[in-house]
Amino acid sequence: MKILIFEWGGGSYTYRDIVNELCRRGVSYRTISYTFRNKNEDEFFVSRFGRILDEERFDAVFSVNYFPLVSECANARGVRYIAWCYDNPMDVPDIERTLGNEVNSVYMFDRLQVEGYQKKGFTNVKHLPLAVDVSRLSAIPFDPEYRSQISFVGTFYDSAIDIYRAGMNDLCREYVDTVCNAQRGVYGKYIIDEYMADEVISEINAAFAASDNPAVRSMSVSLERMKFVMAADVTRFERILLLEMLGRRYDVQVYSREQPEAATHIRLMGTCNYYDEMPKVFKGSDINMNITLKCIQSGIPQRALDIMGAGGFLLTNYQPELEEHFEDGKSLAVFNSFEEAVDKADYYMKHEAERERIADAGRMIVEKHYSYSQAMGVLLDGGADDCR
Amino acid sequence: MKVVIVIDTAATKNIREKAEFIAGAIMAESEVLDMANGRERHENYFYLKSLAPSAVITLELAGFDMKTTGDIIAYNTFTCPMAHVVFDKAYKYADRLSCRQNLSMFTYFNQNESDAEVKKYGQSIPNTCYYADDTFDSKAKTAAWFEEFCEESMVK
Repeated sequence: MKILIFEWGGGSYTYRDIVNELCRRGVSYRTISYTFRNKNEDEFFVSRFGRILDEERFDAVFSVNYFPLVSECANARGVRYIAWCYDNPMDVPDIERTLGNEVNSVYMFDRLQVEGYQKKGFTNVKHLPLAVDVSRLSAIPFDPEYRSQISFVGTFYDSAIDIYRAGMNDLCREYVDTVCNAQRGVYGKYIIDEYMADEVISEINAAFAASDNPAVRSMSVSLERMKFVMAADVTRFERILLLEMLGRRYDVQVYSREQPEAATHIRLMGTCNYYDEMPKVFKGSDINMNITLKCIQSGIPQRALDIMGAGGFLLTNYQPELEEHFEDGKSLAVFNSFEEAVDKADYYMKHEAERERIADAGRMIVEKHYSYSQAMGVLLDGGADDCR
Repeated sequence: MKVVIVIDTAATKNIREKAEFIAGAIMAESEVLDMANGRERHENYFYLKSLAPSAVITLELAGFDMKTTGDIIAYNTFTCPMAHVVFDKAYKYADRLSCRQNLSMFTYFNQNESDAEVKKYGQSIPNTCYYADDTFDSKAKTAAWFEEFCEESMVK
């Protein structure tokens, strides 16, 4: 079997683990990378990528995350296109224009997201949880340089919400603020989705159009974009607040590109390399936090699996799909509120042996149910569903 | 059209003259960015991003040591086409040539460079090109080279 892999220019986190699995399976591949200015229109890309597909025979095209022009090129030639998405949302404007292409097999890790697309008739969108290479992570040794009590690796989303808020009238701004406030600290229910609808976006865009400020008059926002910036803003708030709460009691180290000014009780460590350093962070921490991006409604984010796969102890917000294989207090620790997060951090910081048992159990479950071997089996064989 | 020519005078001492010659020859607004300007790598990266160039030309693979947290060359996060001009022997840049490059990147070797050597060190290069020995000795030939690159890369 021969696969043409398309990689976004900056690289996907999971690329190396995926190609390792392809090598294990004896699948040959070629990788093409590119960064789009416009994901829906690029004459150069269509010409060059299409030429590659014409000149060389591939059994399928594969990408991490979905790219409409990759789909169009593959579809024009009847070559199967497999997209395994770890972004949610997918940051693809007008995705539904190409999502239904006949050659597409698009896998997403959030069951509710998949159901949303399937209800619209996209039966080629299927659920597949993300994966982790436990054997690779296990081989990375503990490094005392990464020792900490509590760690968090992730983004403090610099949401564009303030730009949109500034252009809204008072009524729209109050509505958006109320919805965001209602979502803060709430897990298992996506209030933003429930209360942000086309009518609200129409009001917001009408308010922009009616503004005295010409810069505001030229603004417009889609429903998907607005939901994302609100989710990002809520996530930013939650991450800063919870880490600060923990930071007042423990040594909390945060690996992130951003340096939020409100973070005064945590140690900002800068970024860390996904493959070599991040596993050391997880192994070196007594507790590893996962605070999920709000628009990931049910799925288990990559970071949570990475933590457990590396043998780290995971303290995470509730996500419905965690219940499929994990148990609170047995293979990870789950919180449903900030207060519960702090209580559990206090408890587990005092119970090292229990923490280690839980981390071990989590790692074994990830190894059994979230391996690249299983995932690739589904992806390459065109599995109808994840069936784990 | 805005073009940025990236060099590293710490790695290649006399390269600035070459960069300024090319800048003067091509029909575009151009700026020379020296990676050895005392700024941190990431500061140069963000500065280059802020210029939003229509195209980037690197000389002797300057800046290839800027990497993302996924260990990819940071240039791959740019949307504009890039021309990487290698004046020295390919084997001297084995490490840099083995880095994955975007489909929008064109790497130029001297036509006297052995094809086998280029293939050996540049297996990951999506677009391998050659320039005549005297291309960058004349403004007219440099301009013609750049025009050809623009056409090939569909730079806007």
